[in-house]
Amino acid sequence: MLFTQPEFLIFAVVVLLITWRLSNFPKKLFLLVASYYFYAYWDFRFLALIFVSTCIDYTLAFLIAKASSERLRTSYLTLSVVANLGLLGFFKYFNFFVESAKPIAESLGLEATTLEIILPIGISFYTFQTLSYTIDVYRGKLEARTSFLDVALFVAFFPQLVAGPVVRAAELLPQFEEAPPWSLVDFYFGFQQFLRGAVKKIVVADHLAFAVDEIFANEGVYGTTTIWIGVLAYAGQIYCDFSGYSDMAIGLAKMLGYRFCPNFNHPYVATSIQEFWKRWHISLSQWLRDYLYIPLGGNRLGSVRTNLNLMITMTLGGLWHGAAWTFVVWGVLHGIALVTHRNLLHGLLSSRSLGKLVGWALTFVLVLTAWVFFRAESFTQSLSMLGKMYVPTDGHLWLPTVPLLLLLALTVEHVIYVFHNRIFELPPTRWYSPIITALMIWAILMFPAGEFRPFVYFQF
Amino acid sequence: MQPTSIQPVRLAVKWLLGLAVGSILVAFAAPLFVESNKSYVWDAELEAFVIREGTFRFRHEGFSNTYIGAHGFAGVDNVNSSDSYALWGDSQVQGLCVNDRWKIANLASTREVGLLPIAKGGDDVVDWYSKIPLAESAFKVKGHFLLVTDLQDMYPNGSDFIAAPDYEIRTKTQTKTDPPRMNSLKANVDRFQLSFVLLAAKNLFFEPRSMQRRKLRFAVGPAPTKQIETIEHSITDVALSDTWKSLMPDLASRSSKPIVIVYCPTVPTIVNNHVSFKDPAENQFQLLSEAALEHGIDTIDLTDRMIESYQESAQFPHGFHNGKLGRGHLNPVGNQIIADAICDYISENR
Repeated sequence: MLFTQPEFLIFAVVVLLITWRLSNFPKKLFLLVASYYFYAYWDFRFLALIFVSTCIDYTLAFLIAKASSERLRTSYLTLSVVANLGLLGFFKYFNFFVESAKPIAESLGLEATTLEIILPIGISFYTFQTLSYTIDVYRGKLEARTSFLDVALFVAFFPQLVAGPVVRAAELLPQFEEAPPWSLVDFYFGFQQFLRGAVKKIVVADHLAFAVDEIFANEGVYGTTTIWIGVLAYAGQIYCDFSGYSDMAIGLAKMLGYRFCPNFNHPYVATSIQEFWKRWHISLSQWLRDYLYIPLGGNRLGSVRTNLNLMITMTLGGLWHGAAWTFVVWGVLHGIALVTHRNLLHGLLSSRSLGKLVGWALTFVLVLTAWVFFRAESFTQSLSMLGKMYVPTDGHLWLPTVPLLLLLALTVEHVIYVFHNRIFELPPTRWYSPIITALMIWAILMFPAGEFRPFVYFQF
Repeated sequence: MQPTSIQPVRLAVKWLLGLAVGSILVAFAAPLFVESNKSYVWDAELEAFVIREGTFRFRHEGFSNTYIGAHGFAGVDNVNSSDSYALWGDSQVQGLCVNDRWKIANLASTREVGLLPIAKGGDDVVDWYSKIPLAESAFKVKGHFLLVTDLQDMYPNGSDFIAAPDYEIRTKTQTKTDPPRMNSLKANVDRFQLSFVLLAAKNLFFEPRSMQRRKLRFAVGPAPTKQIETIEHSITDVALSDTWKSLMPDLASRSSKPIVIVYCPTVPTIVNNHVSFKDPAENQFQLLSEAALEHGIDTIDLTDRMIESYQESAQFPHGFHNGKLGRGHLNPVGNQIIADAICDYISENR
């Protein structure tokens, strides 16, 4: 079920009404049933996968907590990691690895056969979430839960189930125990965030997608200016699509009385690539930092090892997004940028305002360049687009009016944010809040995209 | 916040006023983004529903305002019918996506050729067939130009038409017009500048592309996959040729005045990452042309003119910046080519 479907709105209203005055246990029970229905709406068969994943981590976390020796604890954790990554690896990466190994296999006279595998929606997100539970229990940061209901709801909680944010066990499980009281203020701000997310997705991202799809599909026809418009539009599309989804998820959770950490914070105003990753998909970058980069040694083992750890983290981060080499290259590019920034540019760009401006420009151009690999269907297409971006090339000039207006609006919104970063929260007592709310509701009703477009991150 | 009893009331009033102000702002800005509603009136002379007189905004492809004159003629104010030719077609002749000065009829008028654009989106040979005698009697036109941009307009209803041409299908079904109540609602909505409300309601209750009423699904998935309608490929060239050989004498018999088919395919266009100059229906047009000539109906093939124009100016005859280049409706470049071709034909055959 998509947040932008009319069915979802009805579902959300029903859930909000029923849970409004429920006490903690029945509320959680109802939310679990609703979350399973939410997932089954896509394909009920894959509910079994979520349930198995929940059972494995519930049991293993319990065993880790009760284990009598360190060796046993480590074994249980290893089992959890292998089981979770095994499921993810099979469903998401099996065919990718088979395809990649095909040339070698064929040269050895072996047959490499791919399978018809349906990628379970949200598997990348809930796998990382459940892993955070067992790892945090292993590290002693979190107690293993005796309540199966709490763990099951943590894994399947519908606002963040299919496309994040990657909410950690330590963040959500204590909230399930506390039973937060219903608050009109939270409900209001949750609603505003949900609405803002819907505008980003329906009004901005889906209309930018129109230009993106056309330009990426016919890059050979268009000249440099239009190619840049296509890449800028994609930067806007993926930001508004994903941060829109995150806003809707966070807002919805807030309306239900739960709090998620922010997932985006205007990443395109970042003045360094390091800052970009503190603003883009925050829950994933923090997960990768805490559960991959730091266990690899982080920055504690000298400069060479730090650089290597950064590269490994970003490359795997790229692969997490999708089973294709273009995603790997996207991750590698970000890794190289982080290493370069850390070793060469950090001191130069961080202090003076001119340095910040140069830093912003460099970061933005790098992010745009990397998006080309993220969006393109192949390396050939990526290289063709990059060639046209950086070497002025003749070709048709297409100035897609609506996407250009939306890019202008996004730019203005970012500039306003730089100077007044709380303005978009729309406090209920401010005079402009109802006016902007009305404009947002009308915009959603008047300008839905002409065709069905799921959220971009659903494919991950 | 002080917990007084008046504050929630004040806040509620403030919000109601704010929401109203926001909606008024939308109403004022809406004409920039929202199209007029097509409301129809019955035209006794053409015996058909035509768009109501007035100004029509078109926004989603091109950005234009069209004056709809008498008989639904788009962009034509004064009908000097006795010195004019009828220009038949569909939405391409109507040209709602370009301003009036770029419409085919008005471009032709700069060369002192009068054209009456008798066209409505979705019209085809069946409509033209039934209206040609009516137009002749009402407007005393000197001849007829049929603008064909898609050869399917020459065999409406696909294989059914080919098997048994039925020129009465429109009058039998009357599917192209809204019921009168809806027509008057649309007209009133436009009059009070409330098109945006109707648009929002449409988006809420209808599927945006198909305009079918929304069907909600609450059953668990996987959802049954929709059957994709397959394009009819079974129509053979022989069948088409036979159809047109029987259609042309019927068409020719509708008028004693000259009838000319102007063929304007969507070329050049963008296909699979390159500019294509190939008209996939080239062979079919040859069949149509042969059948037409046999019965004294001239044809003008604009394929080469379209390609030459593109090669000279690098501008596509179809498409807009707020649509897609090389696809969609004719733009001012395309309309100019057609107007010139018609004017040239008239001056050569005077």
